[in-house]
Parts: sequence; C-alpha cells; structure tokens
Amino acid sequence: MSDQRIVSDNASVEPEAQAPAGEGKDIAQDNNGFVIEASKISKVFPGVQALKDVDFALRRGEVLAVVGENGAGKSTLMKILAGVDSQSSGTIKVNGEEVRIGTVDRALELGITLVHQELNLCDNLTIADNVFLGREKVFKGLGGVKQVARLVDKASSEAETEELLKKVGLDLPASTLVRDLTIGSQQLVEIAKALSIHAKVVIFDEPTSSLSGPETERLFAVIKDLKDHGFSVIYISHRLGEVKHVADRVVVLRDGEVTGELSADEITKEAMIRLMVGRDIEKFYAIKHTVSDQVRLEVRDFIVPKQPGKPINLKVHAGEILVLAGLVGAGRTEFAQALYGIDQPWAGKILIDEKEVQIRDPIDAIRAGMLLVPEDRKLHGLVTEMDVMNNIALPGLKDRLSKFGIINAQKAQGVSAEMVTKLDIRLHDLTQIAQTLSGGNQQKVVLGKWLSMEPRVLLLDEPTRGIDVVAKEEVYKLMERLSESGVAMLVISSEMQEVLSIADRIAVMCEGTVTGELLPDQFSEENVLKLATETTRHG
Amino acid sequence: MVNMKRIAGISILLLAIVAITTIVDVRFLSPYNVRNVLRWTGLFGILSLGVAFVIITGGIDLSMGSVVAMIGTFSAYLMVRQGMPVGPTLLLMLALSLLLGLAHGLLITKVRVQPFVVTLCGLFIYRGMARFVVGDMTQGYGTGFIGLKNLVKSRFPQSFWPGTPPQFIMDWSIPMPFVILLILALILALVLNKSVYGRHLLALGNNERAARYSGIHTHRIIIIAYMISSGFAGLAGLLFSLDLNTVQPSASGQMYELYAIAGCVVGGISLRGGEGNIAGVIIGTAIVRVLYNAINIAGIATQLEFAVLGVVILIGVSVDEIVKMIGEKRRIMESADPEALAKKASA
Amino acid sequence: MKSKMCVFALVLLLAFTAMSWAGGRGEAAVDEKPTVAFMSNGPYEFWVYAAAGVEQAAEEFGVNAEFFMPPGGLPEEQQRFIEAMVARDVAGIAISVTDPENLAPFLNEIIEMGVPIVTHDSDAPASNRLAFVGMSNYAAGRTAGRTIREALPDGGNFIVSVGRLDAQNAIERRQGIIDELNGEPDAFFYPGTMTPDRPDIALGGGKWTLIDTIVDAGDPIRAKSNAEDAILRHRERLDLMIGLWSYSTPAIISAAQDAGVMDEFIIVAFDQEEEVLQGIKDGYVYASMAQDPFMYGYKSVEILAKIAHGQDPGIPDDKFVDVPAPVITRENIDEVWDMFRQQLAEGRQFLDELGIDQP
Repeated sequence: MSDQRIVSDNASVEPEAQAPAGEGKDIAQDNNGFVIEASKISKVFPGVQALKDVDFALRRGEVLAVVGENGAGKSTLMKILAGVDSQSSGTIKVNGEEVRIGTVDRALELGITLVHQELNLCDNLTIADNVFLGREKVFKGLGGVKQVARLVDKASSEAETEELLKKVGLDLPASTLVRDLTIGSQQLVEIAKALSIHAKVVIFDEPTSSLSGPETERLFAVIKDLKDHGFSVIYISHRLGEVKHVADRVVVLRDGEVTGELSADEITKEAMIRLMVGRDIEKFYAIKHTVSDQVRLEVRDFIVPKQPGKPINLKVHAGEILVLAGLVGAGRTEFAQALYGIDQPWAGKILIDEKEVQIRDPIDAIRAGMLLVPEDRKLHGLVTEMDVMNNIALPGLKDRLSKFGIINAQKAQGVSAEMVTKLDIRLHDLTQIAQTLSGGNQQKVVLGKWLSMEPRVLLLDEPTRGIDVVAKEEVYKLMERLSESGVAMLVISSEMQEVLSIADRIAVMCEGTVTGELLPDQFSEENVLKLATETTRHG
Repeated sequence: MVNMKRIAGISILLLAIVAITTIVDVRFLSPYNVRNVLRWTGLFGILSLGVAFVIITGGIDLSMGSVVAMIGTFSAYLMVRQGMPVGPTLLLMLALSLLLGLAHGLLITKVRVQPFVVTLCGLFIYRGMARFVVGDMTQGYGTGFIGLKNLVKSRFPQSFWPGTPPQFIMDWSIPMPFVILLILALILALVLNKSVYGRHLLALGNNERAARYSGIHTHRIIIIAYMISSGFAGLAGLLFSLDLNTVQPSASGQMYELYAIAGCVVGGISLRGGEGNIAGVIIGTAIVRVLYNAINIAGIATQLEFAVLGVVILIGVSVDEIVKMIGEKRRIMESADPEALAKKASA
Repeated sequence: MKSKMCVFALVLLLAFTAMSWAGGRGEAAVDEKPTVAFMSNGPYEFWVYAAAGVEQAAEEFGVNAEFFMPPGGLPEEQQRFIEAMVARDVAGIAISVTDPENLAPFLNEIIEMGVPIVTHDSDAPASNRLAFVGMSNYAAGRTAGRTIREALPDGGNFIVSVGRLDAQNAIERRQGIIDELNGEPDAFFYPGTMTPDRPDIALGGGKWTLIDTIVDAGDPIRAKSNAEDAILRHRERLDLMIGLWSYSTPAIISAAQDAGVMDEFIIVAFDQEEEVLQGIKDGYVYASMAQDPFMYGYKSVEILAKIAHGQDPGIPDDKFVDVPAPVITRENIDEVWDMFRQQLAEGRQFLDELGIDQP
C-alpha cells in the first residue's frame, strides 16, 4: 500500500455533516486512547434477550475482533454502534463523551461506520454514487444558485472514488454500474464507501465471507493501513484463522454476554472456540450416521444453468449426509435449484434409485421423491400468513390429500398433527399462524411439510441458518432419524462447524462446479477453504 | 447504457407507428394533426412525469385522475362562480394539490398504509368532493380568462411573434402544453439525474434498506415524490379545464391515472421501482397519444382502440423483458466454463 | 361552500337528519291543504328549475309541497324520505327513481297503502306508478333529426358524438335521428332496433350520410380529441356535428374553435349547458334539444294535486305524460334564457323558504 493517508483531506462531506467529526481529536487525548467505551449494553427483542450487560472498549489505532457463534449478539451490538438500532439500556461513550447514537446519521457524525455483512448497495447506481450515497458532493455553487438545487458534483466524486478504489485494489472506473460487478468487487465498494467517510471507527461485519483469496489479502492490507493511520477497526468474523491473523485483541460473545477477552499473545483458535461455545469442540452435536451403500441420488455430467462450470458428478447414498460447502456465490443454491427443476440444466442426467428421471419442474422432482427445503424459509418455504396445518399439508394437497380437487380436511389434519408430534413442534394448536412461531419452530414446520411427503432424497439449503442452538440440535436429531429411514441428504451449509460435524462426506463447490470431495479423515477447515477458493478458470 | 438502448427501442416503436399511420393517411403528418398530438402529449405527459417519480420509489398513484377533476372543477368554480381573483386561486389550488400529496406521503410513510390503498381512496374521495362542492354542475370559463387560457391555447413561437409570422411558423409552432411539458421535463431530468434528491430517490427505489443505512431520510424522499405527483396532477387539471373550457366533475379525468402509468411503463419506468428516465416517459406518453390518434386517422374501428393500445403496450414491454433475458443469457455464456459450453452444445 | 362541507361531513347521518327534519316540519304545517312530496335523484342545479315548477303548480292547484333532494343520490335516502312522508299522511309522491329495479317493489308497497305515486325524469317501469312524467329520448332524437333536415335541406354529411353507445338515452336519441332522416313513420317510443355503428351510413336514400358515431367512454377530453381527429379526416365533406350528451357539444365547440373551422360546419346540441346557450346566442350553435325540468315539477304536482282534490288528473292510457324537448334556436334564445333565469330565481327562492341547502 502507498504511504498516502487513507482518507484524503479533500474528501470533504457536506459542511453540516462534517462539524462534529473533527471535535473528537482533542478530547480523545485525555481519555486513555479509548474511542468507544460501552458499558452494560442490553438489547431486548420481543421474546429474546439479544444482549445482556455487555461491556467493551475500543482503543485508538487497534483492530478489535468480536467473535461468537451465530446469534451470539455480534451483529446486534454492531448495529447499535452504527445507529441502525438502539440499545434497550446501557451507555455508550464516544471519545469520552456519553452519547445516544440511535440514527445512522448520528453515527456517521460521530465517525462510526459499518461495512455490512449483507451487501447494502443500490445496483442501479454507479460505484461513485454508492460510495457517496447520503453524503453527495454538491457543487460549491455559483452565487448560491446551484446549492439550492443541490446538484451532484459528478466529476469530483468520481475522481475521489477512483482514488479510494485504488486503495482497496479495485481497478475500475467509478462510473461503472454496481450491477455489473462481481459480488467480491461489490464488497470492496462497500469498503471504499466506509473509507470515504471521515470515520474514526470502521466496523467490518463478515467482510471476507464472499471474497476470494487475493481480495482477502488486499483487505487485510487495507485494515493494517487504517490502523497505522490511527483509525480503530472492529472486525467481526467466523473465520478464526483470519481473526488470529488480523486482530490485536479479541472479545468473545456468547448468548448476548461477553465470555472473555484475549490479548494479542493469547489469541489462539482453541482459546477462542472455548470461549465461544462454552464447552469443548467435541461436544458439538455428534450426529449418528446410518449409511448404506445403496446409491439414492446420482448426478452425471450436470451443468448448472445459472453458473455454468465444469460438469458435476456426484453420488449420495441412502442415509448419507453429503454436505455441499463453498463460499457465497459458488453456485450451490443454483445447483440445488436446478436439481429440483426450478431451472433447466444445460446438460446432465439425474438418477434416483439408479433410475434416470426427467425433471422439468418441481412437481417432477416431488413425484420422483426428491424434495428441497429452501434457503430463505420466509420467502420460499413457508406461507407465513397461513396456519401450521395448511402449511404442512400444502405440498400433498394435489396428489394425496384430495379427491377430484376437493381437499380431504380430516386427512390433511391427520398428516399435520402427526408431523407436529413427530417433530415436536411447539404450538397452541394446528390453526396457529406460521408467522407467530419462533424461528426454530418455523424451520421445523418447513421440514414437516416435506417429510409428510415421505421423501427419498432431501435437498436442504442452509437448514439451520438463523435459528438458536437448541432448535439446531433438534434439526440435527431429525436428520439423524431421516438417515435411519434411508433418506439421502444433500445439505448446503456455510457454517464451517456444522459442515465438519454433520457430514459423512463433504463436496466443495467453486464457480459452479464441484472442485473436490473430502472424506472424514480429510475433514478440516483448511482443506475446505482450499477447495472453495480453487479457481478453475481465468488462470 | 441500458437506458440509452431502451430509449432507442421505444423511439423506433414511435417512429414505426408514425410511419405506418402516415402511409395509411398522409394527413397524419399535417401541421394540424401534429399540433393536436403534441398538445395532448403535453397535457397527458405532465401526469406521466408526476407519477413517474412515485413509481421510482416503488409506489403508485391512482388518485391523479380525480385530482385532475377536482382541481379543474375548483379552479373554474372559484374564479367564475365565486369571483376569486386568478392569482390567489392558482396559489390556493397549488397549495391544495401539494397538500394532497403530503397527506398521501404521510399516510404511506408514517401510518404505513400501502400506496395502492391510500391513492385508491384518494381516487374516490376527490371525485366525490369535486362532484359535491359544485353539485355535479359543469363548470366553465365562458368567454373570459383569455390570459389564463393562453397557457394552453397559445403556440410557440407564433404567439410571441412580433406582427404576423410567416406561414411556416404559423403551421409548425408548438402548442404551449408541449412547451410546458418540455420545461418541466428538463427540470425533472435535472432533479432525477443530477441532484442529490434524484440520487436518493433512485437509491431508495432500488434498495430501501441500503438508502436508510446510508443516512437518507427515506420518508422525506417518498413524501416529496407524492407531492410532485399530486402537484403535477393539479397543474394538469387546471390545463385540461382551460383547454376544453368546461369541466365535468363526474366525467373529467376518469382513467387518466392509468394512461399516466401506461406512459411510464412504455417509457421504461419499472413498477418494481428504482428504474426510469424522463425522456423515456415523454416518448412513452407520446406513443400512447399517437396510437389513439392513429386509430382514428387510420379508420380502425374505434371499438378496438383499447384493444390496440393494450396489445401495443404489451408487445413493447415484453420485447424489453426478452431483450433483458437474452442479455442475461449472454452474460452467463461468457462466464461459462469452456467444458460446460461444449457439453451444452452436444446436449 | 362552508355549509356544504359540513353537510358532506355528515353524509352518514343524513337519513336520520332527513327524517327528523321532515318530522319537524310536519308539526308546523297545521293546514287544511293536502301535502304532496316531490323528490329528485340528487342535489343538482337541474332540480332548482323543477322546484320553480313545483311551487307554481302547488299554488295553482291548492296544495302544500315538500321538496327533497337526496344529498348522496342514494336509493336508501329516497326510501327513508318516502317512509317519513307516508307517516305524515302525504297526499301523493313524485319521484325521480335512482334505482328503478330495486325500488319498484318498495314503491308498489306504498301504492298498495293508498298513496299515489308518479315518477318523473327517471322511470320505474316495473312499478305500478300512476304515471311517468318525462321526455322520450327517442322523440327528442326525432326532433333532432327534423332539425338536421332543416339545417341541411339539400342533404349532407354529419357526425354524431356521444359518450357511450350502450347507454339507453344515447341509443334512443341516435336512433331517433336516423329514423327521422330515413323518413320512417312518426313514432313516439323507441321501436327497439338499433342501427349498428358503421362508417358512412346512408340515410334518406343517400341524401344524408352519418359519417361516424364517435364515442369517448364519458370522457370530455377524449370527446374533444375525437372531434379533432374527425375534423382532420372528414373536413372536406363534413357539414354538421351533433353532440348527444351534455358535454359532447362543448367539446365539439372547443375543437372547432382551436382548429379555426367554426364556419365550416353546423353544430347541433342536446341539453342546455352554458357553452351551448352562449353558442346559440353567438350563432355558432344552430340549435339544441333542451330538457324542461320546470315542467317535470309542474306536471307531477298537477297530477298529484288533482287526485288529492278528487279531480281527473287526465293521465293517458300508456301512463306517459310527455314533456317534449323544447328546441332552442337563435330565434328563441333570449326568451328561453330569460325564462331559465327566472325559473332559477323562483326555484331558489322557493328552496330558501323551505330552508333547503342549494346546489
């Protein structure tokens, strides 16, 4: 990296937004170098205590990593700091002064900015527009006329954006539309956006989840550069290897509470995991496998239509759990959807129980005994406004639960009730609206919906995303039972811990194809990541 | 880039309709007819421009036709029947229509009623108010108000020509409503493409969460969009009433919201929000107006006019989607693995 | 305007208001004279003319008159008012029926209770009403046809402009014109067969041509734009344009004025919009088939009053009491306009006396 300052001096924002940003410097001197001090932060959502009396502090010029399992409260804490959400109780001091953040505007004024886990770009605008969104550079005005109209100074914002892009290693014109960028490049734009702000504190929330190896390296260089120039960085990641590499200090959260803090020399993967899970890693739910050698699902020379890579060949046996691992954008969901008949593959054969099946539509897949539990249960898996009974009965209505188009209500109720008991779904009665259930129970309803169809092959896309630990274990138990009854499962998962613990075999995808398979004795985070970043093309 | 292609596409559609109609009957391109088409494009285009801003936010405004009727009726009623001076009446009407937009915006952002519902209720309420206040009586300006009527009746540059203009100028002067439309379009294009507000509007329509996270006051942006929409509907209402010289509270402006939305859709404003450009809206409106005119000129049975309009719009929009799909396919093909391409070819 | 707003806000309470208002007046009217009630189909200025007729007839034939304009133009408002009137032993009711099909059984019940009912303006043919006081749209169309023949004695080409061709009054008016020019034998009622809308219909053995019937779905702006297109296409041979609905002719006038072709063809109108009256006075509208709301009021009250006094109301066998469409031309425009103004003033005064809010 260059020895230039990361944020150029002429990267001026609008005058009104700028004033408080400069104030901090003097006050900070008498404050032991703490930029942010948070004490007793709590956040209560209806039914959930997301954060409980969290204390933490951030020094000037340090990289603080915040780690914890999904749902440990990291994102909630960061949203409070970035003004997207506010705390239920507790105080935050910025530069020694107690503040109430509350809005994004205010956070920006205080010099705090968040690079989001999920991309927050407007893909209909250019890179420059996105970088300066909400803080557009306005012509300085000819006699005040232009200022009234508040016209955007395109030339100067693009010039400045290109400076920033160089720093994050993106060599593209600032006038490029964001929709024409890869996911990885979009992430870099997010970072450039954070740099453009007169930020004192930059929060990175899972920044590398969709970056390639070289892009990740570039990011680390950027973070180091930030640190060297007196910025403070909060770094949130699941990738403990990365954390070890980049962080000066680690704060570990579990179930909304701080379970410990590690200083630079104490940071080891094992130490972090111990604090994260509060138990030994071996205790991660150990799934019992009942694998037979009968091939349930076989895919030959299959080419994913939305992300055509090299042909895919796969076998899944009865009772086997084959986990599809890979980074975001590797084409796993697209692969599952093409198998299920939502999109037509470019080429390839699908065999179920060694018989070739033609799948042109999900109904063909369902008739062949292959079902898909989709990734976003609210979007694809559940009719959230409908009651539990109808949700479970839905897929069977046409063939099994009706005659001449008339629904057999008794039969539908019977099937639903059976599933509710079998899956231990907690609800008042079958007419409860699906939306009012907890995340875990919702997921069980989705599973119940498909299990009532007695599948032979089950495609599960991120089956435990966003549900709590207890519910997760129940989903695993369920998978165990499915395994016993000889169902072949193809599970997409991005949670490394889960990948490593539940799989019989791991198939890793990258760029629309399977780059390799791992047997249990080869299971390791490193091996998975290596295959997940194994570019097969473009050199 | 996408926008330029889109504009080129609909311009070709417009030219094709013009060419075909001219071949059927050359009088289509006579100065008289061209003036008429431009005048109607001007009047209806104002509505389309207004609603375009709302559609970019991802909303919809169904109340425009009723606002046209109400403002038209009230203007004539106040100036003619109640003898209110022109200036204050116009100011009052401007304030009233902006107020309606403000109310829509507040209900949508703060009370969180869906835009469809809010403006549908507006459609009913304003029609009822227009009819009730004047007791369903047709309002008109009679023979007076010449100055005001020049807003729609005069032509540029003919009406501003010192002395008698040459025949060419007489023939090809542009009707004032179209001039007004062009001026408004210029201002709105500047706002949409160059101003901070326009940037925020596009961002909001595309990804509301991203806009909010960037510290944009999304509510304010939405409210202003609805105020633009209602304000333009009010202006159009005044101009329509002046043009016809009478306004029927129960009949005028019916279905105009749908013509306005049709103009936007043809012009490439996606109902999903976040997409759109001003030039497209004007060409889209012109296509709708030219089609109506062409049906009459070409002697197609008028019973078929809605059918023809529907089919042409549908073809235009479908072709656009198909072009997008082909583009997407090409993008996938370009990024595909060579081996995959070979397999596909042999499959 | 302010008081109207208040009324508007009270729309939901109106039925109740109407009843208590009617009741209140009943107490005051301790009088030997029988009372008849006259009801419109809505709060429109049209009915102020009728009010003048009601008042004049009431005076001439010795009855008291109640006058009611349902503010929402709703059938249930009419129903409530009738019930209140019956409770006060009204001697007869005249009504312009808002919903003929659904109100007919109710009207029959009232008639069975011995209260005479006549309809006016808008009939309920399915009911046992004593008479319908109104205009035959077909007859008005025949009158328009005669006007066209008079304006184009040597034949010519004309265009009809109307909102919708599936509305009964539009069908009848247009057919009246066609039949008259075809020299069909005189008839008062619509014979029931419509000449389909086709370009260039030859009439009177080719003497007259109905070039086109242009429709606009009830939108005045479309009416104007259609008229412009018609002028462009048919200017060379167009001799006359006639507007069948009240806004049709103002739209034609506006189009002709903008095109500067006012002196190239004749304009004929229906109804009495200001624009049309002014046009007749200034000479650019040839004639208009007007309506006569004054006579609706007058005739209705006359019949009811005569029944109340035990006299013969003189109802024809077909129950149809004709109020012919008066033809307004340049010859009688001043007279007619004066008459309208006078009727309006009288009607307003009468309504003021009754304490009724005026449109």
